[in-house]
Amino acid sequence: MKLKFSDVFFKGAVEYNPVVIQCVGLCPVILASTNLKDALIMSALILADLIINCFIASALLKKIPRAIRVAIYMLVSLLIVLPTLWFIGSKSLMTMSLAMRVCIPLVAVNSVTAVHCEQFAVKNNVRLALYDGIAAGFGVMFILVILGVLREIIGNGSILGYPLDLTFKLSGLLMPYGALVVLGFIAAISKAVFTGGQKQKPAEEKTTEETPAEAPAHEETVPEQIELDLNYVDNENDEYAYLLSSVNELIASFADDKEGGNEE
Amino acid sequence: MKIIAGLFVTALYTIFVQNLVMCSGLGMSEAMRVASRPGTFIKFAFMISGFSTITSLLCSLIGSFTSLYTSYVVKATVYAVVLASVYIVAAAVIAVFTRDKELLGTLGIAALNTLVFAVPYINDTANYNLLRSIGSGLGAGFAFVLAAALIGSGAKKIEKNTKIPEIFKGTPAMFFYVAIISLGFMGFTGTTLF
Repeated sequence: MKLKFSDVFFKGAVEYNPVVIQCVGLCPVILASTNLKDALIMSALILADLIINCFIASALLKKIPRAIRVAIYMLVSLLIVLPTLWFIGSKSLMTMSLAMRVCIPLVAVNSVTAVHCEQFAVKNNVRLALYDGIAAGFGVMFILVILGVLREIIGNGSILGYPLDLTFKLSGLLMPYGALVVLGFIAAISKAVFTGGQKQKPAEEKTTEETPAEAPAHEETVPEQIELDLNYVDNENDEYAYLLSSVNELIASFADDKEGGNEE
Repeated sequence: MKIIAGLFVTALYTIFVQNLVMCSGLGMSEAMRVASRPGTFIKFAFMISGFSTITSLLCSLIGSFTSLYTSYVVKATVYAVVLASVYIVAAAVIAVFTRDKELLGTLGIAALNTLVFAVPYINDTANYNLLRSIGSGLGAGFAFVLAAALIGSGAKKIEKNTKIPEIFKGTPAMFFYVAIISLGFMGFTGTTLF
């Protein structure tokens, strides 16, 4: 059965959000979300980067050794970053924050791109790779925009540079720890909405074929006709897989070890 | 002696005072993931330090002997090409002499990440001379390991805590915990925190 874009999009952007579920791409999210304008610029960059890299990875790089592929992703990302830097121009760049001036080139080594290309794009056809790239890009964009709005309004008392007459400002939100706190709340809300706060399967019960991120609650809600294998965990020797699965194991292991019990 | 002291002080500054991972979020994704593999800390420390140092050294030398850095576009291109070249050379050496696939896989993660790529920018912004650039590069790797070790040790305690509400278990709790560590490190920088 042909997979629909909506199925892949929902799974890639929301249910397995790259930032709050997979914990990739945290650096640009933390640095570039101090205001909405920077967040929108970074979102557009990352979306373009993901789409182009996933397309190229799926279409051309499947037979290239991985060690070379990861360098190619960086050089392809430069093709997006350099025109952006040129377009913004030196004078405009100087008016941007230091974090943003450093962050724009860092899109070239963004971990979202490497993870999604290695774990999905090179293992699937171009159509599905594009779907996944778009989904992951929009997933990062959602988080960046939410963070940008919250951090600018509450942290700076403005929106898109226009001051709001707020009596209360929490400038700590403009710091990296502020972004992490907001991310924590977004992750909790996401978990509450998609798992209903249900307990996840303990780490010991998972099999090697099972995707650790798929809690039983997710499996029950996934329709049978979805054949797409969004198994981001390849095997134990796959370096990117272990990077991804380590967080998934962490998530799974945070579940209660036994019913109504405390090992201590 | 003064020269070595300058290098050492810059490295210590990068590790403890202005920890690049905790104070700027550079390489935070990788640190959170590597945190659950304490056996790889030393390997990552040396690889990240090595790549940061060599890349920042080469970028500083290119800047000193040429007038290439006329714009951000040129700077970004040079830094990226230098980093990619250093990585490919290292990968080729490992592929030819050791054929260790696991090390090769780890090399990509250690080399091509936001922390390593940001070090030349930071050195340039801070106007570091050659030796301080080396110190900054050396400190980057150990800053990464310090962050990963702190995250890993806290994650184990969070895992055992059954009092955390269900919706906050897992990544939400991790984010809050890393936020608290970041707040602690930000205290060393002397900036106003609230």
